[in-house]
Amino acid sequence: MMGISIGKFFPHQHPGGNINMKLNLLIIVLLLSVCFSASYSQSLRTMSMAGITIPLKDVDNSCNPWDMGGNISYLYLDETTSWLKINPSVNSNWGDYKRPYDGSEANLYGLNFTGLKTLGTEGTFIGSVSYIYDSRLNVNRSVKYNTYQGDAFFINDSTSGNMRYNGPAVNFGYSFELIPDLYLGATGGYKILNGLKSVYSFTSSVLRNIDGSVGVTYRLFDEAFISAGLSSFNYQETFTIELPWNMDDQILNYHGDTYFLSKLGNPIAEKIKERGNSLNSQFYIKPDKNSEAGLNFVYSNSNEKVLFQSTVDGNSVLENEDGYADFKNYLVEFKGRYDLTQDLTIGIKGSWEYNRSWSKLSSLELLLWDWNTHTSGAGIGATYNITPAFLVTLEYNYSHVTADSSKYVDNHFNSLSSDDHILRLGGEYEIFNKIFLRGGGGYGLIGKDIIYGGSNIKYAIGTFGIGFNPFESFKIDILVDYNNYKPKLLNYSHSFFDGLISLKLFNI
Amino acid sequence: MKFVYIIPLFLLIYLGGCMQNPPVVQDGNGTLELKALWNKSLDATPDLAPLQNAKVILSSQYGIQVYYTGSDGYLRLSHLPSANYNISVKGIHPDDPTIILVASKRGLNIGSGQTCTYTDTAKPVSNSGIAINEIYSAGPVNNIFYFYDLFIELFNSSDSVKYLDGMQVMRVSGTNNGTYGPGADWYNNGRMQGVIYIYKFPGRAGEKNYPFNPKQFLVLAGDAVDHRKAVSTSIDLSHADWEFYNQYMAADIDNPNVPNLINLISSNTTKFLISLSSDIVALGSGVDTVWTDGVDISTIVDAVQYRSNMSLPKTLDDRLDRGMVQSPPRYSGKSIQRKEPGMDTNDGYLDWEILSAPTPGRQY
Repeated sequence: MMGISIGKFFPHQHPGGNINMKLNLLIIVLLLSVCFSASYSQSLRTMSMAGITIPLKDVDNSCNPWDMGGNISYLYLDETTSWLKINPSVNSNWGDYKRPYDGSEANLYGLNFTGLKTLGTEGTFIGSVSYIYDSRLNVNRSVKYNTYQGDAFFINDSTSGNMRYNGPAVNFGYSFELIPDLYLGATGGYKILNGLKSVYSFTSSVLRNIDGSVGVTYRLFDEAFISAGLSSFNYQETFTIELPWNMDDQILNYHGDTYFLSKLGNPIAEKIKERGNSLNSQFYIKPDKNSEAGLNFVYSNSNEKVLFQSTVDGNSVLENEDGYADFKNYLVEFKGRYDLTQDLTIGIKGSWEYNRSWSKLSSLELLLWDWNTHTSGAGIGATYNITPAFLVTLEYNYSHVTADSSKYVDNHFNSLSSDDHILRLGGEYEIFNKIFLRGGGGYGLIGKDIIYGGSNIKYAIGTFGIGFNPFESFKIDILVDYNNYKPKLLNYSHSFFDGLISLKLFNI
Repeated sequence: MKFVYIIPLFLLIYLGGCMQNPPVVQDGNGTLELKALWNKSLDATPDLAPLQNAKVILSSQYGIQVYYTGSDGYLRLSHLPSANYNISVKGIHPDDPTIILVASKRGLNIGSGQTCTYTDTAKPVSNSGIAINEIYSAGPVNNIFYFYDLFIELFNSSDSVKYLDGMQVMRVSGTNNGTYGPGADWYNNGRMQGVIYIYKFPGRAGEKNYPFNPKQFLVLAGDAVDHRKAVSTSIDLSHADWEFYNQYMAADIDNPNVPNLINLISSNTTKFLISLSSDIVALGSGVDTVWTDGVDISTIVDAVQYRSNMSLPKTLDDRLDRGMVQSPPRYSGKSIQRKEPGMDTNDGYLDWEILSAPTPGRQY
């Protein structure tokens, strides 16, 4: 989903407003939070410098609950000036180092408008509207939008073909101070995409996602905050597998990698339903202007159901659950930053993440697949201002991943561990007054790639960006980046390209 | 303060709303132990021997898998998904390669963690000689509703010359009588009802003017023309052995170089067609020439019911075939064919398979 891009200026404290009105707002917020949420995004500035985040100070890269954990309740404290952002973007990936049902190339074009309005003591409102065009070339057999999301169910036809999805997304959020030192917020989001495979089986799909979140932040003392949040999503992908002429269509519902059910008909109706909840909590402290630290905890669980639909005269009358998948995720992460001198900032980061998922055949209550991953990560970095106009930044990240997979239905059992290292170097140079050139590069070694399945992966990243900020009323940021993954011993690779422009208008 | 205690309860309900516990039983944990035997005794005393290198066809909701027995006639398959399996075993007689030994089992339920043992003695297939061997009616891949390239293939699996004189090819898809469907013995008088087309070879049953040689394939084309000229994905049937020709139709296509089967029902003035995905095709000896009261089941040499929706009930009389055949999708360019030429165990479930492309005049 296209995320809301959030800008940030100077942290600012708002005084508390009228209590009764705030309670009314609280009720509205709680109601909205059942269905809606928004997302947050990284700054184009840090992305332009090889994506370095640990030691690099930026208005959108703080350790606070909003920037680090996406907790909407902190938005009121984080944003103090109104603005409007216009963000066209293109994201592409291609290559022959891929999974069996991946396409040869994917291009995602987006146009996003995000506005933030500060309402003084009444709170802060943020909203965005996006339009997405997602084109996937030579997708091999799969007609699912998210083919590989950790479940055992693939919905395939017999051809390779192009698929395209397009549609709008709307997100908004609101944050305010309920009583002095207690801040609340809520977000909501809605997205709908229409998809079509342009060759046999001519599957069309409608994707609908509703999400929402609610958050609360409490000021413990001075610049120390503790936050908590809840979020939910409800996703549905409806397939209509129908040929435009009078012949039978066919769809293959895989349980695992080997065995599948074949369905014939015209049309064939199927559906995927997903829903999930998440609990998150943050702690943020900024002892002085030279240091800050944040802690983020997330627990989430979700499930997915693959449903076969029976139809009579074109109307769906019955849904039979073919498969069910369950997902759980725990994440704990810490980030801290300290200015050793006026020109030198160091940062550290640590994280631990656990994922577990299992899939079952619903009709017989049989376990098809059970897998889990543990990821422990640590990072360190430093940023140095060589001159007031020239900044360099360096970051190193290490992660240790262990994964266990028991794919019972295919009799495939696998355990692996991987040690991954990534080193990044970035810089920013002010070539003219408030006009910046940015760039960066990085190199990494990934022991085992649990996504694509390769070993000894060489990872390379190159980024370039421009910051154009000579005027009071607007600024422009431009980013292009290129990432490449290549197994060391194979002549295959997969590449990613991103191009983003951000036009930010102030004081709207 | 009581509100404080409600918060954990609310969180528990909220976060637990999506949770289920994983099943304790895993799929992919079934085992089949199969022992195929054959009786090599020439007298009444059985002398069972392993059926070596026999082809084992395992079909279930997950499709068809093919395996072979070892030199001891034994096959062990482990890590099978839980399903209801049909098993078909086919081997060549060790002393006479012209004889096919067959065993079959339907409805073998293999659950997770279960080991099913199946031992069977394969028996020689008693072929009458002529069988329907392939049916292509799905139509080629096209979007103009072209389906005229149908053909029915016959095979003489015997070692002797058979004769086609007077034999009849029937389409059986008439309406049901409220209790029975087409192909059934509605009146329990030994006659199959529901015939809507009958086309016959020249001559009368018992005559010997149209020989059908051993191990020969015969292609009976709806229209014996090169259908690729109409649809590029279609097939060339201009060299078919026989052609269905309706002499009661105003202008049916007739290839003068291909002999005709002609229509016996004068009220039928349309082309010979069979349904793309669901129909019954029967081959009669031609002895029963009065079809209005049904066709004597004992005179039917072979019959096949194919269907796209296998969950619907079979209507063809069990004496003609105990099973049905899964048809390919309409306009898929696929056909159905017997797994072994002419081999008829009287069970369509086991005998037939879908081919990715038709093979007129030969076995895939």
